Amino acid sequence: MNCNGIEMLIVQAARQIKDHEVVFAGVGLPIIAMAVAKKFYAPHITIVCESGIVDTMPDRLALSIADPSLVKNCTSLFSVNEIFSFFLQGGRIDVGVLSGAQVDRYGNLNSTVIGPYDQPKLRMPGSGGACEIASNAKETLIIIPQGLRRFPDKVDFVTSPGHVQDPDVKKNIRGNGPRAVVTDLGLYRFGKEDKEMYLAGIYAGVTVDKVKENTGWDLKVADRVEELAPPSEDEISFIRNLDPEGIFLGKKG
Amino acid sequence: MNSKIMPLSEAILRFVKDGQKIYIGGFTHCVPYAAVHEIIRQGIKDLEVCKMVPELVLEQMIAAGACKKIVFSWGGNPGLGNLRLFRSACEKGVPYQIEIEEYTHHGLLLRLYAGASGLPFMIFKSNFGSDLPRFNEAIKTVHCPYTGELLSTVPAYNADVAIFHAQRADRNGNIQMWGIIGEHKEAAFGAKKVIVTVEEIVDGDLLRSRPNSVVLPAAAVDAVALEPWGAHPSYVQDFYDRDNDFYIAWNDNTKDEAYVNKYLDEWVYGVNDRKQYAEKYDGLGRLKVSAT
Repeated sequence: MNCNGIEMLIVQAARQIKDHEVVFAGVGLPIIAMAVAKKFYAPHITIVCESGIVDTMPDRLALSIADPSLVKNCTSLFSVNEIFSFFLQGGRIDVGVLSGAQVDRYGNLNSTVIGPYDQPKLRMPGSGGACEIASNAKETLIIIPQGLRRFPDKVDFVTSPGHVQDPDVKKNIRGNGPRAVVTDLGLYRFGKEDKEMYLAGIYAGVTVDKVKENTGWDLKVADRVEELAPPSEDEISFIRNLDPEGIFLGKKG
Repeated sequence: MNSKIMPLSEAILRFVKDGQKIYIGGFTHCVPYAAVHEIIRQGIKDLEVCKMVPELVLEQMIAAGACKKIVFSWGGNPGLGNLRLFRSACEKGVPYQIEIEEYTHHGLLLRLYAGASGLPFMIFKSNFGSDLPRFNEAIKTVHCPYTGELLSTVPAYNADVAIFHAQRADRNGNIQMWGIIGEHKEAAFGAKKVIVTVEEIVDGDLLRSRPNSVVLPAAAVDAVALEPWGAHPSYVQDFYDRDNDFYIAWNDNTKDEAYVNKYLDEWVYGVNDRKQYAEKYDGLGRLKVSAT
């Protein structure tokens, strides 16, 4: 079945989740990816949302993080304070799934402004819970469509820290930073020592040159770049069923 | 004792004044649209609006000239991305420049928590490695006196008036709410005055059977107004579903700046109250859900 890059991104993100993990997911691509993970790869994960929803599974497109479709299927509901204080800060989240407008080589994410903060060219929603997810989840998974503007040498604003380089800052952050970055071109991991992003896998039909053309710095590439298996027909039908109008998925393959 | 139950117009007239700090509840569930529309209709100006997720009510208040400053932690159209009018106010000062004061979700939540708890500030683990503290000097740090670790701090926030929507009240003004309760307790207990709109008013015995779901006691509430459909286009658990079409249409149509003003003319200034809004609004019935 033909599918577009965003659909491949969602399925590849789902494959980064291990069974039994407690995952924290925002609305849009993250919640769709976690629904795929729970359905096809990791049936015992617990999906947590910042609105207070714990252990949910969407059965239709969730347009808001407090969408009734997420409330209807959850096993418990908490206040926003309990979610941020007990679940995140208390260390109970294994993986936080984050997105943003820009990501750099260390996994720092920007969802606040393009241009200067005081006179932005583009004012975006800001952190919400993203900074807390990046700071307190044991690891994060970043999902973002790729392009030169989205993969700059330096992000315009750090909303959510990635692998922080300054040890004096890093010691104040409990989380271990990004596990992986998944885009519509491929899969990236981070060096064990230098914590810099490198290309680990690409989809069929994508070349390393194409990935480099869409990266704003001199990207490191694994010695052997894995070719990522395409989504199955069942997976594609499942995600299209969650977003039949293509609000998050865009146009179909 | 005078009853706390009163028409919404009277509650807003009595408690909300130009230039005040107001907290608007609703973590995308139970957003008090009817109360915000009444504030706009009464021509109240220059408010400092505090709201974790300001969403479309903020744009309506900006368009109406009701809001001069926003204290927030996520300023988007939930699920759909950027708010166009909020953007143009920040980027171009159109229709006018609004002052912004920005936090993370946990940060703003803990400002409310400190305000409700009689504390000057709260500590938490966030903001390190982020650029936000460089642009908001209220975000500071403190060393833990026990472990020595460095923690982020935010100051208490106490609103002059907090405004919420909930499922039910009893005749004394006890407020019952379930589903996503968000930040309601923290914001309300920290506010000087609290106005709540509700879908229904019931006999007290019904609330006494589920005391955990009473989120605010009458003693912490100043005014209750009966406003069915008072949270549309957001939703009320077990009463009506979220009007996702409305949020999508808003995202598409606010490319045209005149759309928000046209909306205000028709749905805020063009009706006397929420009852008239609900009668005029075609297809509200399709959103209705039956309690389970």
